[in-house]
Amino acid sequence: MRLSFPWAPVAIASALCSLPAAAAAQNAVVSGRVWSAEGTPLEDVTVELVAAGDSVARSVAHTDELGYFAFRAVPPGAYVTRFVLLGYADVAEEVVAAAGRRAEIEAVLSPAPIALEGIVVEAERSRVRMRFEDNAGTTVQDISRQSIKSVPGVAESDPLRAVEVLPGVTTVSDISSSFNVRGGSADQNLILLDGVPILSPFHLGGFFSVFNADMIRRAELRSGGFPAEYGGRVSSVLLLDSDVGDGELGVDAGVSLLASRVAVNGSLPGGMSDRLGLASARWRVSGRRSYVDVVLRPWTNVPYSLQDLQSVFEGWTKGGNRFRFTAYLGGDRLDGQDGLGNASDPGDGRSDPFKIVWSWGNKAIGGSWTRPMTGGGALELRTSFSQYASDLSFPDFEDAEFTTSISETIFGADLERRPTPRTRWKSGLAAKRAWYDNRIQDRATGIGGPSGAQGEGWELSGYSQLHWEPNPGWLLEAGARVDHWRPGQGSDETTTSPRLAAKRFLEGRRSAVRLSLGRYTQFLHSRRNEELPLGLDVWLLAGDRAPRTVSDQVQVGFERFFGEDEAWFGSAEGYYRTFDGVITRNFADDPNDPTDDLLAGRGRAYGLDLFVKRDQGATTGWLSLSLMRTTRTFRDTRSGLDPQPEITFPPVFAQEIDLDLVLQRSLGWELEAGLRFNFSVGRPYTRPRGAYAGNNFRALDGRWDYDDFSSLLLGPRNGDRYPSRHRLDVSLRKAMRWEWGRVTPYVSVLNLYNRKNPLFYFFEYNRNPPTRQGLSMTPLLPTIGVEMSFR
Amino acid sequence: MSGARFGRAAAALSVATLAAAWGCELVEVEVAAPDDTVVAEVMVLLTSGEAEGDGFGLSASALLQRTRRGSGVQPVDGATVRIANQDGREVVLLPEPRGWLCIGVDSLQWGWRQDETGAFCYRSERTEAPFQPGDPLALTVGLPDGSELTGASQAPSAFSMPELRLANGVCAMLPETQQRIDWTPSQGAWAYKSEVRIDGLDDDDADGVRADSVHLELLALGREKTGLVFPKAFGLAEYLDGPYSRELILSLRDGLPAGASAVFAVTAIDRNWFNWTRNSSFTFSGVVRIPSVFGDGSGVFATGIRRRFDVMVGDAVAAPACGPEAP
Repeated sequence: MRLSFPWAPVAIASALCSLPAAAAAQNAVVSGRVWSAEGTPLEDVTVELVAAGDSVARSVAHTDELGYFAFRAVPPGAYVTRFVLLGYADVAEEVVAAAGRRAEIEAVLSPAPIALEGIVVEAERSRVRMRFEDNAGTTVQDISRQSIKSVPGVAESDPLRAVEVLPGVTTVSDISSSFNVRGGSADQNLILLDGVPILSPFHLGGFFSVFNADMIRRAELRSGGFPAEYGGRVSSVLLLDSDVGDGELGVDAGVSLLASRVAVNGSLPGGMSDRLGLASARWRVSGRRSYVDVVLRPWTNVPYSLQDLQSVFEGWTKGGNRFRFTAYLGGDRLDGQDGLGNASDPGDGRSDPFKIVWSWGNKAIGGSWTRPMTGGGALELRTSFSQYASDLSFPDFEDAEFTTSISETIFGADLERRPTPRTRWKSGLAAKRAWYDNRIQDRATGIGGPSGAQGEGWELSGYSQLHWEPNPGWLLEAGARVDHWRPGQGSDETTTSPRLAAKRFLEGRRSAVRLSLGRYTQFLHSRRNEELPLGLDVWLLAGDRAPRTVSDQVQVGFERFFGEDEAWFGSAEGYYRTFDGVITRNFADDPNDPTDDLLAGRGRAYGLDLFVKRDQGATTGWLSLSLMRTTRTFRDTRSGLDPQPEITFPPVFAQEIDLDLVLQRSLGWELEAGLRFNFSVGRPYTRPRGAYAGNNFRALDGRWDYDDFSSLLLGPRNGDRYPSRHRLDVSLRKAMRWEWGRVTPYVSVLNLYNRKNPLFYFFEYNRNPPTRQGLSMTPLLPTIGVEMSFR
Repeated sequence: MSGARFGRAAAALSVATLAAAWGCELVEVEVAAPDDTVVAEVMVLLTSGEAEGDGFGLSASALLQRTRRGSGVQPVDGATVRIANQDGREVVLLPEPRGWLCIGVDSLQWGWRQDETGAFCYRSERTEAPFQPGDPLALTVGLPDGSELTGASQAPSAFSMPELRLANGVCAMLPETQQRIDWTPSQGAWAYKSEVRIDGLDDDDADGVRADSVHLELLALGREKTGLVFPKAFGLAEYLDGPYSRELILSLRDGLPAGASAVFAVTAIDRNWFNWTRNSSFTFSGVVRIPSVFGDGSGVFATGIRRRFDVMVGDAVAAPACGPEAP
């Protein structure tokens, strides 16, 4: 079922936006930008507007990523604006606001290193407040690098593992860092590194993400109601911002049980920047590599390794324009050239090694040019290339190869304008070319060359969105997105996706209720079976083999600050989503039909996300509770019946209750403790209802070849559930500061009480009595590591 | 090699990785007995060009078993298994309790026993087929308790191997060479199952176990996949998941040694056969097959059209060359 979208509210909102803001005409606007001494705009600067002769701030604003801030509806008079940012000396500027006029301020802050406990938390709180006041419909949660590092991790901090603890986010197992948002599958999450899409950002089949936490400044998850500027995925958008550093030469390094890593940042020498016409040019480069294979080489051959290279460059011209480049290159390699088998293993049944070489990974590069506009807003041009590829080969069979790859090239332009103090308008155009090649090549058979699937497509998109505050009590957002998809094989498709959101502030902006609805579309899918704990994505595009996915969504929420000095923030949000055009594997596909190996189906999800966060005090953290139901409906291709009946079942990520508690506490002496507790209802699985010998009929002699490997008769699809899953992780970090920098050793203990959460079961019906065994997820697992920072 | 087998290998690899990395087993617990369901596997082979005359030969057999209940195996004996075409021509499969004419030599050698497996065999004593390729066939299995299983199969059409030259079903191949083998498409086929039994290989693997006779299979998906290079095409599936040594498998890539012989068969198989053997749906407890037998049980009823011939390897074999040598 799709929701019907009344266009009337969009039209009304647009009409309202064109009305003159009569009340505002009597007041003034105070706006401007804040820069560093090196000429770099400063984000997250707290700007206070204080009436002359007064000591209490009348209003507080924060700068955006281009350093822009604005106060609207300022009564005429004399004021002082005060600018505060961690690491910089406070600055105050006098300003006179005249009725109906705009007063512009350009402030420059100079570095003044200070070390105050809790100041980072204060900055976080500012962001929460800014999000609250600036977003009508988007459900946004962001995690700073500080928080990413305080969430206990498997071996080292992982931005995607940190996302798991946010409301609405569930995971199928402890093993994979892949995540699901509000009933969507993992391939429905758009993951952007500085605006560059990263497809399948995982090492070791999903065990770790490719993102080095040292390089990430902030992770921001938009789990619903995202505005029209975002397209291409239906479930969520995860924005990862690279940390380009402060321009000073510095080195961050770390060693964990997984890998060693180093990140170096600095800036171009002044002379070089001048020659390039830049006021400032900062860069940061990092490398990471697993080392177990190297360390153990004298004793044994560990065939697996992973590596990442990531870099970011940001330059500001003397005219105030920004250039930004981001690049990532990384991958995994399972190098079994010398064989993976063990000749001495009596249970192996083989007397020889198994030779295999498997490599997979990502390449991504992107660049943007941003020109800030007078009065706020900006023009941005961007381009990116992103590729994910995997190659499996057998050295003994040089002509057999399994490859998969998907690539995307994007060109786009976005223009944001702020025509009135209460109105923000943003529009953009983008062209994307995507292509994939999934190939099973076995030339030795001579049975017709390569098989598999190849395809390409063009996606042309345009959007326009309006952000309007008609008065201090309301915030409205309306927009629409049009996506035209032209596949290489298949029919063109055009989808219009309206987005509408409204927020009503209450209690003097301490609380708010909000509503958002929208349509979301995506034109690619992953064939990965999410029921397997680890696995690699095999992507394909919409076309004659797979449909586009369209999701209609509505969400209603309430949010409120409470406690002394607004130390607490809580929200409750209910949602309903439909998914049309989700896919699953067709187990009974006809090999004579190259287009039927995937089945199109539909799904729905509804739920309630509760979230409480505390940003102040010695103990900070959050509690999130996600209640969710989701189903998928497909033809039952395993039934063997003709016609195939439809079945509706909960997908493997249908975890109806998921609770996360994350706490951080400063213990003094630079000791910081972290805790994470997770509880979730067990995920569904399909239980066998019987087993039999899987015989093979040899046509050669018309006889049966007995095979003791069990074949199964299955019960209802995902009709059973594993037991509830819960786990407690703790971590302790101790920062030791020196003149030259800082050393932070840490220890984490995962699954502190060694809960045996089932990963999967084995049913053995050929025993008497029949038994069930299984493998559990993460055991009690202590890990240690150390981080170093040289300045 | 099929993508399904690749999928199984990948899944097994990921499970093995997990087990090695984690090694954290859950406690074994007893569970309730599974459902008691009869599984009937009924295969009909129409053989072509293997005997004198214009008709088609018949090889039909059925293996009936119950889903396992611990050691309480109960053979499904006393059943009536009938196969009929649209004209009412019928074949009745008769019990073969000891399984000697049903079960493969390898399984018998390894100690297959009906009372342990519970599989009860039925087979046709007719060798001339009353059916034709392309016939729709119907299966009825009546059990002593009155329950009944039914199925339907559409036999693929006949196909030929125009470039193959045989004398008394035998052709010759030079040592250490590769042979191109092609056939015409079979309408209605979902795949071609190629099988070869090679004798005279001199294999001595690391454990000292000799395997001088091997059985290899290859599933080519789609009715247009009508050719292969012999013997090079075989072995990748067994390399990933099979009983033979790596050296033995790799030696096939150089051709066959002088003195070796092979029995080669290619069978055009119908949808039911393909669905039953594709093993496309992997679970941690076993594989899931797509049934084509319904009613009071489950199983498969499938039809294949087979062509088979012998290959002698040597420099001076008194038989025509099998066909064009593969480059």
